[in-house]
Amino acid sequence: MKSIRLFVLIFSLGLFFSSCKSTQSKTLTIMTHDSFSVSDDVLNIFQEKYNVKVQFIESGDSGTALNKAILTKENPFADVFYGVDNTFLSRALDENIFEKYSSPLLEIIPDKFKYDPENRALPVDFGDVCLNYQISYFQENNISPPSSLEALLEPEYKSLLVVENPALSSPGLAFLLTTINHFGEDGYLDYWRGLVNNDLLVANNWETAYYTEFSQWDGTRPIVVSYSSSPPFEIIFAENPIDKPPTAAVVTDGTCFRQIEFVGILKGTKNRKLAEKWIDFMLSKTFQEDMPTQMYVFPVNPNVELNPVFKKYLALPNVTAIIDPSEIAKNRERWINEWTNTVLK
Amino acid sequence: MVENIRNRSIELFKQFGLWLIPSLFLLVFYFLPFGNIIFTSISKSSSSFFVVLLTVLSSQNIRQTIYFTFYQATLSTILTLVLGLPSAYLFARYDFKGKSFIRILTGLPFVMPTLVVAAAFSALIGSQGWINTLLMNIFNSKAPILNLSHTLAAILLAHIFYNTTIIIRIVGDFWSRLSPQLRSAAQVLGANRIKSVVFVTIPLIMPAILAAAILVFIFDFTSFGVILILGGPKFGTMEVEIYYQTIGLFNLPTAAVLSLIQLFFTLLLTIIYTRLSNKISKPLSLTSTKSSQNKLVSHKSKFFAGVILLLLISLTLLPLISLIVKSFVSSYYIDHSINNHLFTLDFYRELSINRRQSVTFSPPTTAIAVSFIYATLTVLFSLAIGLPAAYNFSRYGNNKINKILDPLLMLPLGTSAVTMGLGFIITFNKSPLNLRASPIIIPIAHTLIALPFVVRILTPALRSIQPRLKDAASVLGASPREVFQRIEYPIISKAIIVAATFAFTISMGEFGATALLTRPEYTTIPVLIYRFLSRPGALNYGQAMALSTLLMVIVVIGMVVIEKLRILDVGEF
Amino acid sequence: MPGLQINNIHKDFVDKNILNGITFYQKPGEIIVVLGPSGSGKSTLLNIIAGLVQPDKGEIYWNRKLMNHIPVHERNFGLMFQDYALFPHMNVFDNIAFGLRMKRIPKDELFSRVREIIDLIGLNNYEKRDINTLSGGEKQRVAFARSLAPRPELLMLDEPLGALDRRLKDQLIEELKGILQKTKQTTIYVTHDQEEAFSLADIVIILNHGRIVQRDTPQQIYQNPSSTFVAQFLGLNNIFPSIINFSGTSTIVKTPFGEFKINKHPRLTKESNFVLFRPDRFYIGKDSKITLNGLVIDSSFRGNNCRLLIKVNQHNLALDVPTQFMSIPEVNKNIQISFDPDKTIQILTE
Repeated sequence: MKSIRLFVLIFSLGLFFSSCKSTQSKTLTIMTHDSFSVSDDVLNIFQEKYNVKVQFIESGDSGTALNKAILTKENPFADVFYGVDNTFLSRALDENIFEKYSSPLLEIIPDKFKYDPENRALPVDFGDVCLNYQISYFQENNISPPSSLEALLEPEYKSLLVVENPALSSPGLAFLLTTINHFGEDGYLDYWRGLVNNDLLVANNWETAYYTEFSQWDGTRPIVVSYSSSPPFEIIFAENPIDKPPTAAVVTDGTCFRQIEFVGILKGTKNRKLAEKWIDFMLSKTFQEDMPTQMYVFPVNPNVELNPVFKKYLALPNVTAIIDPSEIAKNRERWINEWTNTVLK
Repeated sequence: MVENIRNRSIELFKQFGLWLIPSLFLLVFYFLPFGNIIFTSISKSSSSFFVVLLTVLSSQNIRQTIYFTFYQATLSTILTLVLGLPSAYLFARYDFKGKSFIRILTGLPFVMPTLVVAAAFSALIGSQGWINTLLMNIFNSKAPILNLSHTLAAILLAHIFYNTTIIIRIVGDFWSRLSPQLRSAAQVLGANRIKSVVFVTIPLIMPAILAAAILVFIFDFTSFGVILILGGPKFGTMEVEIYYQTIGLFNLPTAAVLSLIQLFFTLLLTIIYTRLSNKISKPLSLTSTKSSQNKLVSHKSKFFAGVILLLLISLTLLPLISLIVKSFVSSYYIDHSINNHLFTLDFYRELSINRRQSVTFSPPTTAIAVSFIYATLTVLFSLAIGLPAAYNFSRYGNNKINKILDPLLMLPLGTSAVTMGLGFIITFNKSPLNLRASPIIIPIAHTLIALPFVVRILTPALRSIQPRLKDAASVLGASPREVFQRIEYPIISKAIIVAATFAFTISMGEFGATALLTRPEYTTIPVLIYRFLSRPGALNYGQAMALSTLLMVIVVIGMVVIEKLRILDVGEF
Repeated sequence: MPGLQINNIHKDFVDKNILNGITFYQKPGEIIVVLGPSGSGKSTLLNIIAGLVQPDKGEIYWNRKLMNHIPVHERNFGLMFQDYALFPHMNVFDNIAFGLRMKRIPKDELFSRVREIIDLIGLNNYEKRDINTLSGGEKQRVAFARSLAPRPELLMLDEPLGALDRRLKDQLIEELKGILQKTKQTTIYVTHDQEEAFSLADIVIILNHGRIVQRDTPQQIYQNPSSTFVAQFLGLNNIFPSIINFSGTSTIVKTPFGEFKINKHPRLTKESNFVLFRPDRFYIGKDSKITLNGLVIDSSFRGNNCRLLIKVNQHNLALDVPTQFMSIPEVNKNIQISFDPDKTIQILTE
C-alpha cells in the first residue's frame, strides 16, 4: 500500500527534522504562554548581539504553560520560562523549577514588584485587572460610572455588570482577590451575595465576557472586568483612527488587582550564560519599551517611557489590592469553592 | 492436522500484520503518554489511588457533574439524531440541485472554533442578535424575547450545530448505497411506509447509525468549549472539571482520577457498541448511488425536502452566515453611533499587516499553509493507520485481539485534552521520541482524534462488501493486494472520502492540542483566531471574524478537492 | 496423467463434517457435473479446488502438480458463483476484462478477447452497461463470460442457472454446452438439478453427505442407480425393502409384490436389501412376463408421458407410461399391469 510507505517516509522525515533541530547548539528556548509577543527588531538585537537563535514555545494559557514547566522539570523543555504571575507564583516556587539569578538590573526595579527574595523568579511586567465600562452607555443614561466596589450594589447598576469565573479565568480570579482584599475574609461573600441580588452575570472566560456580554461588543452589560490597558487598545486597534476610547477603566483605590509576571531560568538548562543574558535583556529598556504594544502589559523598569497613546489614555491605579502569593496558593481552592457556592448555586 | 495448524498460523500472521500498525501507534502515542501522566499525577498524591478515588466519588459536586455530563450528552445525541437522520435520508435518497454543495456546507460547523461559534450564536440569537431584533420589532417589545444565553438549550443547539454533519455523512453514505428494493420488498409484503422503514431500513442501516451515534455521544460527553462558553458557569462537564482541577488548582491526583472515570465510561460505551455492531453488521448487496436516488417530484417529497433543508440551514448555516456578515461589516455599525461605512474589507486587509512588527505575527497565508500541511498529514496518517485497522476489524471482527483493540481505538476521543497534552509533554522528551518541540507532534495528536472516525466509517463499509466479490476476484487471478486495490478500495472509496473529509476537518478546526505546543512559526488558523479574540479592539475582533470566514472557504475548497480526487481516481460509484 | 486429480479430500467446519474423503479424476476437456442435494458439500468442494477454502486433509493435483499451497490467484482456475458476484462498481466490459487485466494481457489482445467473449455470449452493445441494471439472465451471461474470458485451465460453475426460470434455463444450458464443447473447456459444474446434469455432463458425480455415492456417465447413472439415495434423487420412487437370495447364476428377490427371479445383478453385495421397480419399464395390460392387478389412485399428465399411481397389494407403485399410443386409464379403475423382472427390477444398497 502506497499510503503506508508514504507514512513511513513522512514519519522518518519528521523524526529527522526534530532531531536536527535539537542538536543545533546555539539555540535559546523560551517557554511561555500564548499571549507572548515581541517585535522582530527588538528580538533581532538580542539574536545578533549573542549570535543565537531564540526559539519560543507557546504552551497554552499561563496556568497550562506553568503546569507543563513543572511536569517537565526533570528534563526541561526550555532554558527560560516566562509568564508566571503572582497568583501562580507560589506553585512555581514550591515546585522549585527555577534557578537563582540575581540580575544586575534588579537594582533599578522597585521593590514592590519583587515577590521572591531568593530571586528565582524575576518581575518583568505588570497589568491591572480593573472594571471597564462603555462610556456612551453612562452618557446616554445620565448615570455616573461606578467609582467603588460598593457602588456596584446600588440599584442604578442593576444588571450592568459581567465578571469572569475565578475558577477558569485569571482576570476572574484577580477580581475575586480584589474583593477579598477589600472586604476581608468575613465580608467578601456578603458582597458577592449583594452582587448576585443586583443581577450579576458570570461568564467563564475573558473572551466571552468582553466580546459576547460586554455592551461595547455583542452583549448588553456596560460594565466588565477587564484590564486597565483595554481602553487604550480600543484606540490602537480601532478600525479607523478615533481620538477617544469608547471605554474607560475604573482605577480608584483598591478596585484593581495588579498581576505581575515573572521570568526565571529553568533548572537544568545547558545554556545558563545565555539564559542570564536573556533575562537581563527582558529587564532592559529595549525590551521593556516594546512590551506594552506587544503584550498589553507595562514595564517594571521605571526608566521606560510609555507610548504616547498610553500616556494619554492609560489610567494606572495608585493603590491596588495586594495578597501575598503564598496566601493565594493556600486559600485558592477554598475561596473559589466558597465563591462558587455563593454565586453559582 | 499439520496442514490445518499451518493454515491457521498463516492466517494469524496476516492478522498480526494488520494489527501491528494501529496497535503500535496507539501504544506509543496514546497509552504511553496517558499512562505516564496518570501515573505521575497519582504519585503526586500522598494518599493511595483508592483513597483519592473514594474522595472524588464521595463529592456531591463531582457526582452531579458526572450526572450532568451524561444527561446533556444523551439529550444532545438524541436531538442530533432527530435532525440528522431525516437529513441523511434526504441526502441518501434524493437528488436535487446544489445537493453536494449543501452537504459540504453542513460539514463546516465541525471546524469552527467554539469562541467563534459563540460569537456567531450571539450574533444570531443573542439578546441583540438578528432573530431577537426581528422578534422585538414584530412584538414591539423592548426586552429581548428569546434568551438562550447560558442555558441548556444553548448547549444543545451548539451540539446539534456541531455534530449533525456526523450523522449526515456516516449514515447518509451508508444509506445511499442500500438497495431501495429491500424496502420495496417489505412494502410488497404488506408493510406500510413507516413499518418498512422501522423493520427493514433502520435495522439494515443500524451499524452506521450506531457508529455515528457513538461518535456524537462521545463528542458531547467530552464537550469543553461549548459548555464553557455557551453553557456558562452554571454548567460543568467532567472535561471542564478536569481542566479546573489541573490548571486552576494543580490538583493532579484528582484530575487523573476524573480522567480515568471519564475514560472508564467511554470504554464501557464503546465495548457495548462494539458488541452490538459486531452482532448486527451483515454483508449487504450495495448498489451504486445512481440507481438508488430519486428526483424530488411529488409534492410530498418536495415538502419533506423543504422542511429538512430549512431546518438544516437555520441550525447549521445561519450562524455561519452571521459570521461572514460580521467580517464584512464595519464596527461603527455595531457600535450604533455612526451609521456610515456599512461594508468594509478592512479586516481582511489588516490580516496581512504586521502592525506591531511582532515575531509571533503570522500572515494568513502562512497560517493557511501550516493548517493545510497539518491537515494533509492527518489525512495520510489516519488513513494509513485506520485502513489496516478497519480491514482487520471487518475481516476478523470476532477475533479476541480485535475485540479488545476495537474499543481501545475509540479511547483517544474520550480522553481529556488537558490530561493528554500534559502526557505528551512528559513522555516525548527523550530520544528517539524527542518530539515535544517538533511540529510533527501536532498531526500525530490530530490523528489520534481522527482515527476513531476513520475506523468507524471504514469498518461498516468494508463489512458490507460481499465476501464473494473478493473470492471472485482472486479466482480471476487477483493477488490479495490487487483484490484490495481493485475491489475493496473502489467499493469503499466513498467511505474513504468521508473518512478523509473528517480527518481533514478535524485537523483544520482543532485548537486544544494545537495550542499545547505552538511555535510562532507554525501557527494554525484556529490558533490565530484565538489570538485575535483574546485581545481587545475592533480590529482584533474583526480580524477574528475575517479569519473564520477564510477558514470556512479553505475547508470548503479542501472538501471539494477531496471529492474531486476520488472521481479522478476510481470513477463514480 | 494430465488433468485434475482429487485425492481423499476431508473438510470439517466447526462441528460439522462437510467433505469426507472425496477422490476423483478428471480428464482434460471433460465436463464433470457434481450432482447432489443442498448441503451435500458441492460448493465446498469447488471452493477447495479453487483454493478459497483449505482442505483439512487430502491433495489436489493439476497436471500432476500439487496445488494445495498455490494461492487462489495463481491457480488459473475459473469459478462462477451462484450469486454471480459481479463487481458492482464496474460496467459489463470491466467485469469481463478483470481476469485478463490481472494477467497483464496487452491492451489490444484484451479488447479483442473481451469482444470475442461478448460475441460468444450474445451481449453485444452491453459493454458500457451498469451491472446493477442488468436482468437475471444478463447477469448470468456476464458472470459466465467473466469466468471464461481469461481461458482458465479448469472452469468451475457453481449452480450457475440456479435462480433462473425453466425456459431461460433450457435455453442457456444449450448455449453453455455449445460453448464448453466448442472450446474443449475442462469444466466442473455443480447443480442439484438432474436434468441440467444429464444434459451437460460427460461424467456425473453424485454427492451425498460429503461422500461420492456414484460416479458414471449420465446414462449409466440413470439406468443403474447404485443406491436408494441415488434412485430417489433421480425421482425413481418405487423402492421397497426386500429379501435377496442367491442361487447359482440367478437371484431370488422377495418383494411386497411377490418373489421374482432375476439375472445375477452386477452390483449385488451382502448389504443389498432394497429393490427398485423402474417406473419407466411397466406396461399397461399383460403383454410382459409378470402381470399384476391394481387400482388406479392417481394419474398426472406430463406431456409425452403420464405418471400413474397404482395400488397393488396395499402398496403404491408409480408408473411412467408413454401417452402417445394409448388412452390414459381413469382413476378408481382396476387395471392390469405387466413387467419383465430382469429389466424392471434393480437391486439397491441403502
